[in-house]
Amino acid sequence: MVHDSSRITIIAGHYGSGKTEFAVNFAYSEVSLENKVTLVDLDIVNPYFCSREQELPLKNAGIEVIAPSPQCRLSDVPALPAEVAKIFSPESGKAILDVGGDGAGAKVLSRYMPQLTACGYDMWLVLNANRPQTAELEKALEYIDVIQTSSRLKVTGIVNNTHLCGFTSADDVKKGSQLAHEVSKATGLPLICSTAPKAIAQKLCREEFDEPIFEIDIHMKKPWE
Amino acid sequence: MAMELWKGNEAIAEAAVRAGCRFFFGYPITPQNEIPEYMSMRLPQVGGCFLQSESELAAINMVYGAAGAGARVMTSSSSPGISLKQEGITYMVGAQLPAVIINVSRGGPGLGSIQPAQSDYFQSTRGGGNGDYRTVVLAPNTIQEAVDHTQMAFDIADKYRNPVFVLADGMIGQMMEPIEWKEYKPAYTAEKEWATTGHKGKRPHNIVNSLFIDAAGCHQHNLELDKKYKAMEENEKRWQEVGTEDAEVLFVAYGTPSRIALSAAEILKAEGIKAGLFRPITLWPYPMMELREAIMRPSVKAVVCIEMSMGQMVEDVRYAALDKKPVSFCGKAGGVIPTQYEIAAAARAALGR
Repeated sequence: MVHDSSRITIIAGHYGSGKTEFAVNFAYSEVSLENKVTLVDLDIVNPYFCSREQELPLKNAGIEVIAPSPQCRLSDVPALPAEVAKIFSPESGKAILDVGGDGAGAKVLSRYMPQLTACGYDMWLVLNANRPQTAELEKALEYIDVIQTSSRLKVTGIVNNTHLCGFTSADDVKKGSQLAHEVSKATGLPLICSTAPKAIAQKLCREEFDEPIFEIDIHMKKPWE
Repeated sequence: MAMELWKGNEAIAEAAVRAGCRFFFGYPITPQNEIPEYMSMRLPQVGGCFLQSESELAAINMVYGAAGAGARVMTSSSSPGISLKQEGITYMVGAQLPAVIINVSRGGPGLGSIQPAQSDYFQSTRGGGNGDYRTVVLAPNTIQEAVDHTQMAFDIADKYRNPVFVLADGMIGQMMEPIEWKEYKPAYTAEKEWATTGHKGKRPHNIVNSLFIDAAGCHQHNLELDKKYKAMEENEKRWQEVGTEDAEVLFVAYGTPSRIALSAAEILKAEGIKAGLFRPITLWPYPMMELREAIMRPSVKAVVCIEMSMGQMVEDVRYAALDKKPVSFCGKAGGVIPTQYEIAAAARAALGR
């Protein structure tokens, strides 16, 4: 089980790192701990493959979803939902912020920097060693810089979410874990977990991992899946 | 080679660079923005030139200029932006200039929506600009194919001195898939002796022009262009068939719907219905005779054309069917993607089950 003791968890990373898949799975996991959970879709850079697509099943599971208003839902206008302000009140419970990809996507956080800093937060960087832009240590470190500069916040943990969409293997998870360990060592940031789709998680040799394995279901599907 | 996870738009841009594209001119529009964004980062690394023009019209005319000077050049846009580029495209065909044009298409007409659509089939295959002209149109349905088609498009463009389209719907541009980078080997390497590179007093002037004031001269020019179109029809037709040899219902689809059709075929298989897929890979030249052959197979009782439009390619499918087999249409427009369940239902209805 992966749990964040901070009330606000920000999920950031590169396009294709699997931020949204992780954020959605993490929301289900947190709500199963009987937490009051809100998932905030802050992706206003690109309206494709966003957590708002999962609004109905998330709501059915008792998770509140804050997403751009219906008029802006399928567009790429930089309009933020006013309801985001709710999460800064302590009684609102656990908040998971799913931000857009890259520095451009993380920039939206900068607008909430004073409130986030006052409330306290964790910001987890989701890493995918199969994405060429974050496949090596130096590149991953550059990404941390880009995200931190753009958001005016600090990354506080690393999530290894190395995948190849439907073609992920146990070797991919292991490869990503090694990269995430290198990033963790170079930055002093903790490695929160390695993720694996349930079927792959069964094939992992657990002794090879000293971080928790976070088993995920695939919610973000393509139209033919 | 290891598999890497790439987003369609980024992969198209990187594929172009690896195929020797050193010039990109474009103007932003969703859902293809990652192409110019990637090029703005990547082209300076290889000594190329990225320029965000003041409009789509400016972009396509910059492409005309770079192509005239013999460069490998690309532009990209999405549906309404491609409309704006039509004048430049027909000028390039007239002036016999090679270039690659990527259309990551979205809902229309007009500004439409920014979700994936295929309502630019007529525009792409019949020509949105004026005059008798043709362009090869490649329609990938995976990111790997988007990469391969982009690189192939440069070779086809150079071979015929004609613009080539890659028509990828918004889903192909936006989604992520694992791909393998193969070493690019150019299929066509002849020197561009016609390019305006400066005669240096050693040869006559090369002239890039689409104006032929004398009618007989313009007719002659059209005859020469027509020879190229016939050669393209002869050499560049591409298609894929899956399970067509004993299909009861034949799906015809390209791009994203072709993959959903295969999922629908799995649903039908479980019900004991055999469904096959005929997928045109080039939308022009259209694999008309090959489709006709697939439709005329005795097992085929019904044909279902699936498009993310109100029905455009279906006209070609009906032509292929010659009124000998029933052709029905299953489609959604404006950025709505048909589901595998809707396609399976359309197949059952077509078979009368």
